[in-house]
Amino acid sequence: MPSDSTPATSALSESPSGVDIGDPAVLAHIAHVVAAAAADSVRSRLGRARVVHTKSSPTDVVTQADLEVEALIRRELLDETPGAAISGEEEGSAAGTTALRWIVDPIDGTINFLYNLPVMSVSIAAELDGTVVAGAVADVVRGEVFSGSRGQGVRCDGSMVTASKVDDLADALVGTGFSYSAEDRSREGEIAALVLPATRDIRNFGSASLHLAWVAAGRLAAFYQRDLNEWDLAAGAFLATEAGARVEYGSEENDGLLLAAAPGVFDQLRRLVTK
Amino acid sequence: MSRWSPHDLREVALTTARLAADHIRSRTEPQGVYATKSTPTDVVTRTDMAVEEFIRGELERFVPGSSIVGEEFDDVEGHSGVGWVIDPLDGTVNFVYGMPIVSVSIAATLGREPAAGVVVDVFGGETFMASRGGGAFLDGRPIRVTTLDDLSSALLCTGFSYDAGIRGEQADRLGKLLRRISNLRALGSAALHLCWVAAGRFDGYFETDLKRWDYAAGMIIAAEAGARVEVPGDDNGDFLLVTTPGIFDELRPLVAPA
Repeated sequence: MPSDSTPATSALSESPSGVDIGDPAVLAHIAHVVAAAAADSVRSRLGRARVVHTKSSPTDVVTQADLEVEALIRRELLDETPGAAISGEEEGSAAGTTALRWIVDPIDGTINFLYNLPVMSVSIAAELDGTVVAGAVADVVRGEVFSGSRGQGVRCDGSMVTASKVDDLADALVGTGFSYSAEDRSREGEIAALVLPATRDIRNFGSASLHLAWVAAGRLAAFYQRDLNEWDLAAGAFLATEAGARVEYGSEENDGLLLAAAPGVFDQLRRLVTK
Repeated sequence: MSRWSPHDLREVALTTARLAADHIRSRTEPQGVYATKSTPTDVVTRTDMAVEEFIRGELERFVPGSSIVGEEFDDVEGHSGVGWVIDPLDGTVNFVYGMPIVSVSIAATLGREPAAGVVVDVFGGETFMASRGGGAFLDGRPIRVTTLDDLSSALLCTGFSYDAGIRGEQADRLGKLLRRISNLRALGSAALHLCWVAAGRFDGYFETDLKRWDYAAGMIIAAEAGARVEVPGDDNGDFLLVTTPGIFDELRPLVAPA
């Protein structure tokens, strides 16, 4: 990427790339540009998915595209921010020499990609000294890019977005996903049976980070899922928080539950999904 | 006999549905709630009504004397032998909330038998179509259902009824179903669910309590793509089941109304 892709507002440091890695707005811009390019790359591979191997279970698959797009993202991020650590879904973690760590999911919704279901996203989060400060989620098929940085709000293709103002759970459209662990399935069914009658409706599109971006944009009032990984949620949970949603993850009593919801329905929904 | 063939009607539906999708895309911001139908969950937007009016006008212009059944306006009884079943905006709840997963659905009948169907994914940009005996297509390329015969590997989709009683029953059965299949999605557009089964993206789709305009076009597309279909009616509790043939019998008892 050309170095003039960094915004004029950033205070450039003397780092080798000319990028001030301490500025979350700069990191959001890099995440946005790289996620958009990666989304183009995924889009060009739609319909040509090929499984390379399976991980924990037959449904935990890796495609050639996952590997190639993650490699592309790593290359571009390291061009912009030399020395950054990178944690990706497919290649694991590469240690860095700076305070910056990128958290990357090249295709969130790999099963959808494999089935040619046109719902998937690219997720890139930037973490400084252990705290996520910027992120971008790119909708591969529809081309929308959601991005933001700490204190600066969230934009979708340049327009500011905020979490839903809904305060009645009956008006809330709620996203969720089902884990691939057989033990969790029964509990998930029971919880969905509580959530369905209490809300407008449930959606499951099969891409956690896209669900979270849509919570940030006020489209879904909430999203909850258990059994997610860091790369599934880092960017999306940051965007949802930054857009005004309440986000709970990794609490002791609800180990493994991610809940992101409009503040007006958070408590009502939390009572249902933590049962 | 009508002078129209299923193929002709498919082409009329195709032209009209694509224009209707352009119309919806041009109104990218969700419209305000205009009226509320059966329950508070069932929202109608101004776009719905404007787009259906447009579609009705086009179909009547192409095929004068058409019978028309649509979601938003009263049935029209024609004399041409050609009938249309239209949903101007399938996925209305998604649209109201700004979710970019909506479709236009137009089905044609000849002498009351299904003859052709077209579904356009408004923001995904794909067009699905079929005519009786002519096969099913996605953007001009033939499509087929999957060849799966193992239910435990099935990726399925469903939708939940607006009726609280039916919804409660659906919810209660989710846990059992989830333990028997690979995964379950719910996108909020019946027409796209059906087309995505047709294209081999889902292995099956089931839903109770749909309206005819929700499934008329998608059903013929799925059938022409090789799906086994069970049409909703009074005799099966308004239950729709569309799957690749190899999992139909095993799945049905898990999802059909008690």
